[in-house]
Amino acid sequence: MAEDNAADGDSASPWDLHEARLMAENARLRRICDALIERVEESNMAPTAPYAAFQHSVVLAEQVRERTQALREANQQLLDEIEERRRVESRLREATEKAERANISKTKFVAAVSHDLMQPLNAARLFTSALQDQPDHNTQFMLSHIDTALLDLESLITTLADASKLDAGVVSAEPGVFPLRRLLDVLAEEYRQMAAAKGLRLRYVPSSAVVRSDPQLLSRVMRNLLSNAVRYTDRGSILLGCRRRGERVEVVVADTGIGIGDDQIGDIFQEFKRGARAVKYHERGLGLGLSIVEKISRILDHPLTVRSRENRGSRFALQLPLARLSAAEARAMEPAADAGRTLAGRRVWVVDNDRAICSGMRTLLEQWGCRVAAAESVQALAEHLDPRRDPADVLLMDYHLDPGGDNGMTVADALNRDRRRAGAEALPVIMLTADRGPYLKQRCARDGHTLIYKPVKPMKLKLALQHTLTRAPSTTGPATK
Amino acid sequence: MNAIPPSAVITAFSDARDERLAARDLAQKLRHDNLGCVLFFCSIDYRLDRLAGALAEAFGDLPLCGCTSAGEITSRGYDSGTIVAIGFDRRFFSVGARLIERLDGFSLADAQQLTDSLLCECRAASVARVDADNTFVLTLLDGLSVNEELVLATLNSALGSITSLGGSAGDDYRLSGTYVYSDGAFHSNAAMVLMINSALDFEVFSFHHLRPATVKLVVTAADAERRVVQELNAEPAAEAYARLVGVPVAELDDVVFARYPLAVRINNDYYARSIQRVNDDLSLSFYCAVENGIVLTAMHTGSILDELDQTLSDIEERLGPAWVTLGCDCCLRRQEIEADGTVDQASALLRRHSVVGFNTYGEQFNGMHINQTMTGVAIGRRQRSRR
Repeated sequence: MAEDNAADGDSASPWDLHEARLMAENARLRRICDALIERVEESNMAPTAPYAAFQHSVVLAEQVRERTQALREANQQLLDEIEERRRVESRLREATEKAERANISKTKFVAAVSHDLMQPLNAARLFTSALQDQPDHNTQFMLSHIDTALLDLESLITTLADASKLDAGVVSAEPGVFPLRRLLDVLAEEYRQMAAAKGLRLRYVPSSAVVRSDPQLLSRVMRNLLSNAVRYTDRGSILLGCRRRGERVEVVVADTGIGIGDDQIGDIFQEFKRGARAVKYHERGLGLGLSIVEKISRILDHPLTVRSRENRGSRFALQLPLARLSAAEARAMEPAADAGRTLAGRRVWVVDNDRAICSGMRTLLEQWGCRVAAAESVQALAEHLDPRRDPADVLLMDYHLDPGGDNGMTVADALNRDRRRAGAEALPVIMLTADRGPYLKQRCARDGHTLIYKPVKPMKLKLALQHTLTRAPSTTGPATK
Repeated sequence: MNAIPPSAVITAFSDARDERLAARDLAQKLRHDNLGCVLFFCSIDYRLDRLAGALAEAFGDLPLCGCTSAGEITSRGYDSGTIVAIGFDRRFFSVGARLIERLDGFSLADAQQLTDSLLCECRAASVARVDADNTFVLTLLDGLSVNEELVLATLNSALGSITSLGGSAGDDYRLSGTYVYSDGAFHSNAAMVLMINSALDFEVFSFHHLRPATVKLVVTAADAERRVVQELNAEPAAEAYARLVGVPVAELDDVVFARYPLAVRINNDYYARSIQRVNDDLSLSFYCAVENGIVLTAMHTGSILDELDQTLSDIEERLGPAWVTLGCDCCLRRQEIEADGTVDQASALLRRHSVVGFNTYGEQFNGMHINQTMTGVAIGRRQRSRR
């Protein structure tokens, strides 16, 4: 175009030249514009052309890169979080272990202290029991106070020991099948008297139900519930009753006492938690009773429910599975005809490493007319008599003798072996222990020994003696194996 | 975990001019009982039919693949007139290789079938778990086929998350014929696809040293099929480019193309479109896809050696010292370095980073056909850590 303009020569004015240049520039820009428009339009189509394929690949690769990066970051963040959680968890586990160790050592300490406290208490009770049998009216009044104080103390220690054992997880149920009456009749009688002392009426509805439960643990639950009912009721009555519900029987303890407020009912099963008003009623309580009830009911797998209204009363119900007695079990349930058997003149040997217990036991047994030989060991006993040959009616043996030495079981077995060898009759054994574990129980059952748990209740001891002597009526009978 | 023997991956080269001597020389340096596969790059100076026969004779049944180059990278650094090779130990590498015989007819179905058969072969070898972490794909394409983009895009769709890299075969700037080797023969308009699976740690990379300048050129007339740009900004392409770089059209050569590249911008990255030659009609031929209406950004070059050293050092920082770094190095990079007179420094760097490879007519990275980059894979001495 420029050449055309040049050829026109003279006729072209500078203005024309300028216009021609602008038109050329305009044409060039239009072509650039067209190319760009074509490209823009092409780019919206499927990438089938080589350049479009390349562009598509670049975009894809970039997306992949971005996503990979995002994934890597997310992954790293997750790893960080997992690591952080792991750290927290490990710190928590350490803290938990520490707390558990502290708790176990506390539990052990409480168990040990309860046991050590029980020994002198045991002795003191034996003494007061012996004194009470004396017809000395001057001391009766004070004695009854001492006895009440000791009873309270004993119940506190027992509670503490129970709680610590439950905490330590060493308590397990040993379920047996028995008629519910056998347990509830005794309790009803016992608590009827306690209730009467407060001017309350205890209504007892017996049941013929046979249940599967651990009688010892069940008895502890019922005692706790009944004690509470008597303790927190001033007027009205207490109900101990049973109700069949399908395959289960519900044992109910209801009272017309102070009740529990709605705001507190959730807390009553917690350790050391007591209702504000409960504290006023029972200053010396620890607040462990219902927590023990709850723990034992869980061990027994007997669902426990509570309903209560403040100032109207409380109703605790425990559900037990029904069962059926075998013929042999039914026979074993026949009551023994021990009652009223006299202990007078019976020869009783006592071996207990605690001198105070020996002495207390002697006092008590002599009250009952027994002829007592008490010593801290069989060797000490031999200073007064010949343990291998001298006749005797029963051996009261403490299970926990000196630490490191033989236990009562071994000592009793050895003594009886010696006696048989010497031609004398083996002695029936009453084993005294605070160890409520299943092992000792089984050993005693196997060897025919009677087992009495400490603290020894004089009445229980008396019954056991009578029972044992019934089985072995004479010191001169034939030797039994 | 057993110690990795030095023979796990070894390299060798021969500068013997005679094809049989060169092949024997290589075989003697590479052969060991566990040699599983050999990858080579050779000068176009060799008579290829003779070289093919000599290699088949020297290596026997051993799988062998490779391509022609625009210069080799050997253990001496930048080299030429040689044949350089990498031998993979079959205990540490499973290498499956497939030839694509006709690049213009390569369909997605073909790509799928090819990928599946390679994955099967790697799994059967059970050298390492066959997944995207332990596996990469090496592509060697005929560098004058003008089909790279479509083949790569298709192959990449089939490969999924498996990383791919590679280079286009060269012919020492003769621009008359580039070849890939497979099964005893050299092929044109063809490609080799190698799937490499290994428990050894590796890192695939692609980098360049180009920075954007401000000037933009619009392609206003192009033959996309032949990668020819006839016009830039509605002017004959060579004239527009010559004016941009300030050099007469007659003096446009590879060194100018290397120093003053053009690039397209896609999102935030620039991808060089390298100029191959000036044609008689003042159009420009490119090494990669161009299209009417694309905007080319004038680029200037940064420090090629610093970029090379820094990037490879960073990789070795992560990977430990590279055992072998396979490098597909654009021929224009080598032109630039030769023009700068820094071949010795470059060779020293390449040796330090254990690079072997070749100068390409284009590089391939995750389905992209790119130019003026160094693209490759560094293979470390450690087993890949379980992550």
